Amino acid sequence: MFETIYIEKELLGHKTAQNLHQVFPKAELKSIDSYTDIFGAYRKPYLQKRNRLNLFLATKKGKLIKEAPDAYGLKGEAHYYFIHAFNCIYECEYCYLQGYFDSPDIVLFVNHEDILKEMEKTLDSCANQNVWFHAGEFSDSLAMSHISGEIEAYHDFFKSHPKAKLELRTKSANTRSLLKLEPLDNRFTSFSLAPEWQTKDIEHKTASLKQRLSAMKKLIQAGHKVAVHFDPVVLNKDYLSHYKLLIEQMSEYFPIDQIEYLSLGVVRYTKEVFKATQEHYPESPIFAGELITSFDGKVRYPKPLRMSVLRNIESILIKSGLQKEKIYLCME
Amino acid sequence: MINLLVFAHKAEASVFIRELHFKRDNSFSGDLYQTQELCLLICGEGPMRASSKLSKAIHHIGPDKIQQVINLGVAGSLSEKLNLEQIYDFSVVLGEASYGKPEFKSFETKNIHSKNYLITALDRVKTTDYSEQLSNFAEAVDREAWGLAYVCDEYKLCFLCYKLISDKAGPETQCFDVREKAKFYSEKIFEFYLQNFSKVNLESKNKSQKLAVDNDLLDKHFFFSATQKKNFEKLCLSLQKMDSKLFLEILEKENLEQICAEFNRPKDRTKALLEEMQNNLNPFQKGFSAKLKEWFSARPKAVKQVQTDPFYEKEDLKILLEIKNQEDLIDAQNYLAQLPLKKYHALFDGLSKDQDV
Repeated sequence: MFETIYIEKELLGHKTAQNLHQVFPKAELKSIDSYTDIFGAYRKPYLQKRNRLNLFLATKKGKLIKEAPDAYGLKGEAHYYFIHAFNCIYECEYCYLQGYFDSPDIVLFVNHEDILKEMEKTLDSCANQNVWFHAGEFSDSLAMSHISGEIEAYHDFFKSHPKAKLELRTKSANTRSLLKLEPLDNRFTSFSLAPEWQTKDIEHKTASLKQRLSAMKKLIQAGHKVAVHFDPVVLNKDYLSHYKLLIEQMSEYFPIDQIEYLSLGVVRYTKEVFKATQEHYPESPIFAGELITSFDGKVRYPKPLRMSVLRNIESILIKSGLQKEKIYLCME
Repeated sequence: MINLLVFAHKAEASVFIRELHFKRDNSFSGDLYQTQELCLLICGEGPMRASSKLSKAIHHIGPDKIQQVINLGVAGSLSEKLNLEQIYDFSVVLGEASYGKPEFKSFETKNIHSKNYLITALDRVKTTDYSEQLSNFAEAVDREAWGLAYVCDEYKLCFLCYKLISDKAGPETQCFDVREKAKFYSEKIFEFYLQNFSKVNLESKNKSQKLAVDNDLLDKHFFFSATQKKNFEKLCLSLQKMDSKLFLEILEKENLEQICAEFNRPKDRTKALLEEMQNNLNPFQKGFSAKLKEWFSARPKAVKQVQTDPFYEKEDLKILLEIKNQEDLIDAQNYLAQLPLKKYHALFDGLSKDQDV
């Protein structure tokens, strides 16, 4: 999977470094002073992730936690995201990471203690308020969690801080680490779900819909909290029947009302990411939808169209038994 | 269209010049050779020199006549993965900004599936430290490819890069003499070229000949400007992706004949066809515009304009009134009082029953 694994010299003895050696015995190991000497030092074309993906094990300096934009999560609560990794092993055609870093290589940050200290400070500054910490803004939260060991690293903190809520966002079915831990009321594993065609044709290398649903079922049965993101919804003329089917498929695995919350959002792009997507996936079915370049340069469906789509899906969800207050519109 | 082959040294190209009967182009001040289908340039060593020689050659030949630029030659290995005297293709070419550090700008060649990267060094790599530094970024090192790729990128020309691994970059390079083995290398590279390039040429030819549609009626009774042709091809692709059946229906004989009957001038027919394709591609926007027309177009003369957000983001309406007398004022007031604002706002909230997606 990885061509070369670069490890910062200070981390050579780290547990994760040893894990990596065992999990990827074919990868060449190199020690480096800092990941920034190589990652982003030159522009590595995004699609090189298919041929030649490297992994970096590093310490994150600078800001570890950032305030999430408006409409990122459930209303009325504070939302932050923390940076535990850069880039993703999957290849979704709509992914904003295409235009974000100058390299598709994966960076795993292992200074979880520093992140936890920052979380503590953030909690202090938001006294008496529930504070959400989202993982997975720049990477999939679970895809490599059995190697990076971060789920375990955060467990005790969230167990002793009930006002802090942790969200792990994923398109994987990798629940190995989670299932070894006791469930927590304030840890939510959220799965991005989409109709089967989208998972197959656009979300390359991700877990199949059935694998994701099955992973959700296992977590629910073990008492863990799960959530869902229908985000991004990619439009085509049959989208409504596709979403009806998806919701039926979900119901076959677990009762819909077991979902803690569900976000709804449509595909949208910044100008740069849209350009990158056109270049990387010129034949993508995403372009068949009525995307327009808006006043701010962002590319999205016209507001009346996207709102109608989101309301239509919301209505099916409510009819299927999900409480309205559990649904929120993402970035609207 | 020709292929332009570029070598750093004449010795590397000697077999090509001999076997393909290249003739020196005396009108060019440098080592440029030509046959009917090929050009061959000796660009010298070092990225600066290489880029300047290549720019000059492209200008001399004419960029429109060049199908692709192929850099061939030898390179030093930076990785155990590459074998001596084997030829490798490279997907990404990096440059060196300063000792052991890469230039930020890198270039992708047409061989995107290759796993190997090449870095063009500013100097000959004669020490272990230097080769180790560079090995963090690439599997092989040469002295010209980045400069060539840079120029190709500027001219939007396809760039390919194949290198025979002559030695291991590092202290051994000091006593290694490429001239000694130059003939052998040139023969190997030539053999490789003969085996591989007819296939590459064919693939790129097929790609450039790909047309959106083949239709007699369009050829005879419609007129496409260059921009319209480009737009038409884009619309064809998008429509095919969205609904291939609908796409075929639009280009059906009956539909095209109907457009021909409605419009006399080939230019107007093209305009109508493109409009129809656009509308079918954006059924929501078409329906939305129709709805707005239905709600806002029947207005008194005092209401000059009702403008909605062209980006469909904001719900605001901009209304231009021209009140000349009391009657105009009353008309405008009545019109404003009856505006279906609730319905209009419901459209933006996705709650309208009028919505037809």
